[in-house]
Amino acid sequence: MGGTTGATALSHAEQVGMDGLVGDGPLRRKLETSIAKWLLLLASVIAASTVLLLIVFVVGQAIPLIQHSGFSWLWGMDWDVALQEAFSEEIWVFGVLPLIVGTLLTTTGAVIMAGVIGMGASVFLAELGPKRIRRPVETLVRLLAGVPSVVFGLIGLTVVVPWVQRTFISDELLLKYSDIPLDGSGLGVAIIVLTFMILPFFVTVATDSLRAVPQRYREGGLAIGLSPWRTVTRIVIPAATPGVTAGLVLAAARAIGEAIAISMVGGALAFIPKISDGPVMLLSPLRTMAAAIVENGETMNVAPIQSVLFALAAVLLLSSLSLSLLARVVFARLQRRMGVLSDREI
Amino acid sequence: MKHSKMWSSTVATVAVALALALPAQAMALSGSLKLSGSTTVQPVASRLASAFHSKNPSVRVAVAGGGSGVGIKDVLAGRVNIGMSSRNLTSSEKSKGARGYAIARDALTVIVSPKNRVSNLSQAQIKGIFTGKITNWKQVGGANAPIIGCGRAAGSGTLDYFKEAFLGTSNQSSRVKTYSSNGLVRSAVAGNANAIGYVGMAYDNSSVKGLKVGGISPSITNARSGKYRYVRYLYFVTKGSPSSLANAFIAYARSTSGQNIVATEYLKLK
Repeated sequence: MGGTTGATALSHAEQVGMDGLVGDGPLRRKLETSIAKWLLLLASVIAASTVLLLIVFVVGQAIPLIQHSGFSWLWGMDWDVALQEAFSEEIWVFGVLPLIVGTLLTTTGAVIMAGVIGMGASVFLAELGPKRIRRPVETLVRLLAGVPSVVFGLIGLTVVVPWVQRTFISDELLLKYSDIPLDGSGLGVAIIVLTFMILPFFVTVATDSLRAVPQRYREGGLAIGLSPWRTVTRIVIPAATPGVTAGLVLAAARAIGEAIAISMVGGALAFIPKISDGPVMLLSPLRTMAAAIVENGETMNVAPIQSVLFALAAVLLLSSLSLSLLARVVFARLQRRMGVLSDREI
Repeated sequence: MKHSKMWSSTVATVAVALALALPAQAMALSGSLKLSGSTTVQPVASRLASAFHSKNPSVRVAVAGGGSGVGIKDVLAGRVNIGMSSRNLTSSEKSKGARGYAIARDALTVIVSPKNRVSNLSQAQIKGIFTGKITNWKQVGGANAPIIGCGRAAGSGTLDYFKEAFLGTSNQSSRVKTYSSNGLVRSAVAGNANAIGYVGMAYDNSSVKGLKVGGISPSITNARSGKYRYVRYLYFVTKGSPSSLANAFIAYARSTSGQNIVATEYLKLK
């Protein structure tokens, strides 16, 4: 590839030198540059307008619902029965609150878990791990990012769910919490599956942020007699906070949209797990917004249901986009406040 | 050389002209058909498709699932040639041009885990369970354990018929887990001693136990004789009149040899 380009460049130079037509050179170069500029502009317009078109389309499809019932669907409690009713006659009353709660619980849980595990992995990869093993471990972590989510769902469904059922769900527990259909699937397994899905994204960003901390920070720490561990925890990690936080927010944006894996292990019920149930909360079934769009896609031919599914998509899209924006803002703010300067800026 | 080339190309032209002039019936069917929809109809449609393919080797028939709602939507949108539905068409679907052709009858079977000692429920008990009024197996003669209902989501033809046959005007309770295919309901029930679900009879295998309803077992014999009452029609759906190939496939499904294939999974039409 590089060889070919070099050869072309050379032959071009030869040609110019041979003909001695220096006057043609600048004109042609100008023309080339301006064509390239226009094409690149076109490419970026396409890329940028896709997001805007997406928002317009998705929100537009949700508008019939808003015209009929305002925003009452946002705090309504009933999902499954409302769908049954809307399917048999034209009713525009829905309740997506259980789906919103389900999404918040799984996302929050997974972000916390991925934050803790991922921070450990990143410190190992960027700071303390022996150099020989860093490379292979990092490669493996990055490979994890490429595993399709349905594979996580399948393993969750066939391995983790039956294990949870055997290990934690006793007859007494079933009777004590008889109003919750407990079968091993639910919040806990959903969080586990989601954690492993977002972990590589977080580790990648966090490792890069740690590596971006200027070397003189570490030297300073060691110079005043701190151990390598203390240097990392007291100096390097705090200095990398902007990037790490941004990584967490990006991981959250990835987590809220996951549909297939959560739909496989979430327990197939639009139920709100209750904190008052203690640890049983983790065994409670739930359904997320993204999972509902997949699972209830069969009813798309009914206008009100199509509209409410698009309304869910709009909520997802807007939350995901605002999380991405938030990540940028947080990164910029924290970096300014902490006065971290890269080596280049000094 | 030149002469012979010209001669052979003339022969070829004549042959093509003759072939085109032959009456359509005498020519073998060729082309491809796409089907999608009801996971209840899917297994029997797949069997019909492979039998049809061995009779007409140049016809390809691809069968996908998705659920009745998806099948009807796909066929109306022109994405497939035939939709599969396990429920009757709604009036709005008919007004958009959907036409249903019954190809089989199916008994709806209520299933539990083989570990469950209950083997018979009345229609009223089944209604009570799926509307959330009966919540413990001991209320219907089983162990002291909560009942975990497993059903289908809105849009499923199986749910539609289940409501018509068992629930009347009531809705399925919001505490019933909802799955998007017969197969998922069966595996949920197979893996849980306290679960109960409902599937098309083709999904009632040894991993689950088909319940008697009012003392009548959901066997093919009972369903055929009408003793087991919970029997519905399964349909192929087209938009307007079917194409000649789709028509040939539907006619095959309804023919004697097609119905013999239907009888391996479901009930014949007559």
